[in-house]
Amino acid sequence: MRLLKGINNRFLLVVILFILTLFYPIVGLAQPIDEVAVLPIQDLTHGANGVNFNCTKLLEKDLSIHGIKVISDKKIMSFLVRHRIRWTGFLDTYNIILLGKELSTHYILLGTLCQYDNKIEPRVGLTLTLLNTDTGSSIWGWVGSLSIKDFIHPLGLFEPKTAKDLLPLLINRAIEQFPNKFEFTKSVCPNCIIKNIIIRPKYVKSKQLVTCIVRVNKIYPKVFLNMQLYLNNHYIKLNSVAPNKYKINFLAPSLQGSFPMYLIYKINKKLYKLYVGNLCVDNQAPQIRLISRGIHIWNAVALKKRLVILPRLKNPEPISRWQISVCTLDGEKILSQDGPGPLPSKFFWRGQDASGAMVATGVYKIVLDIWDMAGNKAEASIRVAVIRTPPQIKVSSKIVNNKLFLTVKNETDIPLSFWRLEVFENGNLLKTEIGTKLPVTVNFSIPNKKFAKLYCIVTARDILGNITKRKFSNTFVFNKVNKEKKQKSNNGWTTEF
Amino acid sequence: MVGQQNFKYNLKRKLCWLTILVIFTVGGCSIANLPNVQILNCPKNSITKVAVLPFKNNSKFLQGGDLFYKVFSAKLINSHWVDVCPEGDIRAIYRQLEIFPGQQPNLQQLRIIASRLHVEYLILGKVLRMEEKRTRQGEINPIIAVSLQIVNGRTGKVILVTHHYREGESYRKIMHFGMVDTVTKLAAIMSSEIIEQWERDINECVRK
Repeated sequence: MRLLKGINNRFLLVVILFILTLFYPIVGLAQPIDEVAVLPIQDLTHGANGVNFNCTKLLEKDLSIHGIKVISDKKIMSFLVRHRIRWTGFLDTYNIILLGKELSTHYILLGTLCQYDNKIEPRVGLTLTLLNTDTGSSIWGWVGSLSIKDFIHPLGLFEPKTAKDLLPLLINRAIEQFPNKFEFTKSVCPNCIIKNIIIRPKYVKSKQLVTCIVRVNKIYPKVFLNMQLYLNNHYIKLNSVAPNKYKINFLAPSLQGSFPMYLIYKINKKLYKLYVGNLCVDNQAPQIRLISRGIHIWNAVALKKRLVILPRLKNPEPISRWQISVCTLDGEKILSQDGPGPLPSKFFWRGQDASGAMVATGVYKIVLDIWDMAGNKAEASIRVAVIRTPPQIKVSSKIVNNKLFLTVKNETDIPLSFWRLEVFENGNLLKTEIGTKLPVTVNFSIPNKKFAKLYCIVTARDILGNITKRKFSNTFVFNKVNKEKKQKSNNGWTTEF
Repeated sequence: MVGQQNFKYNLKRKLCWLTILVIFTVGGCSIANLPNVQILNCPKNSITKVAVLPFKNNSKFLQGGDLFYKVFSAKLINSHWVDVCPEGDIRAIYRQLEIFPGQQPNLQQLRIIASRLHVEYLILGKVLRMEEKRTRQGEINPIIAVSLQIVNGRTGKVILVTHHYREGESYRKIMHFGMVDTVTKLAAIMSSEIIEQWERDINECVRK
């Protein structure tokens, strides 16, 4: 009976142990925090990649005083170097678990020195995060800061004076609140299975070849991964091409559209479905037109100081690259510029060629080529007229009844925006006329002096900004005056009549 | 007798006014406002796991975004309200998706991040203002303004938006006591206030 009882007790013990092992991953066990790996403390005061080893040493020293074993710096640095972790901000779940396994520790302490300032008023700020290496989860967070104003003693004795004095006090406060134990659950971490997923290209034409590469972290050797890519109601199986690498080349669907892609894999009979982005199938070239507001001359937009060209997409979509060029009507390219997407909102042309010299008068073509993300090309063009010739002004005169009639004409097609006529007699201004339209006739009385020096200056500017300024001397006027006098004498008329 | 009663009444009134005066002058009128939380789309179930994406720094304070991000993450971990994804996992996906520092992910990238990290909700943030002003008395008065939002990683819908502005002066009680004089401390207090308010509002919303 005793033997039976003994067997029963043993049997019961085995059953209890078996049940405990079954429920171990779910129930979890309280584990004392007696050993920690302190990673180099980040220092934000020295930029995003700054590290403060002094603070790390102080933290390690304080932890050891409080009875918590600290993993040696050399081991930690060796791990960080081997795994190319330059900054603790890049420590992902996989590396956390790996660090735990390699250094045989359950906990990692990460910290950031937010403030360390001596300038105005010494002050320090620190954040700490404790991570569990079994699951990669964050289990404790602490934030603290101190300034010298927090330590005002009646006689000013033993007061900290610099940030260097404040830092050990702050670390001491942090360690006082350090947790003693932690309840954790052991489970497979789905985050750390997939290292990276590369699908390229993501914008394709129909039936174009697409490559999908998945790299995995072999952290759980017994986990069997049956990787599949789900796209457009089809499952595409990924082949294992290397120990930790899965790859497949497949043809894009023939239909146009945006297709969501999912990576499907199983871990311990649990199915995981990851969204990995959309595959855009696009066979249509984007529709684009160029807009340029201005004066239309010779069936083209006239260039003033500079020409503003606005590209407009009918259905806006991402653009991979663009190229704009200025050509003559014969097709000779005189200027070209290109760039990656997105498409600029405006283009400017100041009438210069590639060398920076001003182009000659004529009609030019501005061509914009764009390529969408799938490589479909679209083109749009606009004609531009460059007119460099200034207004051609001619002045003719006529004398009728002792009055001089001056007729001013513009001999070019370009309308004027402004003209001014100034008539001078012996250097004195006799008459000024201003207007916007030509031809025009101006009349005024002839001065009585026989040999008065008469001349006029005409200034004109066309609508494109070309300016001309010409001086017309008095000879033509006096010739005409003399001729008229002669004609009058020939007729036999006398002044006394 | 009437005169004596009037004198007592006047004395009581004067004492009453004096007490009010003392309360307002010594205590100040620093009634701090709670964070402005607006729930746009109520989540169906309570939030269990989140990923805090790196905050954007729109302030002139160097590393202001990183500072508030670290403090907020540490406070969120310590609140035990939700599980928080390690920063390294997020940075690794940012690197793979070519999201450069200071850039915010687009909708498709948000969906990919949420799916890869196995989380339903993402926390996005912007530090709008962070500075340490000097008062006339020579004290340092830190000022922080942040804008945070929780986004559903599957749909891209914004669950809630929070705007919070605080000064170190807001916590002053008597003389210099209670005055917050470091940006880290103010960020920690603000983070706790935001997390508490979120927890309260979301739980209320889910219960309804």
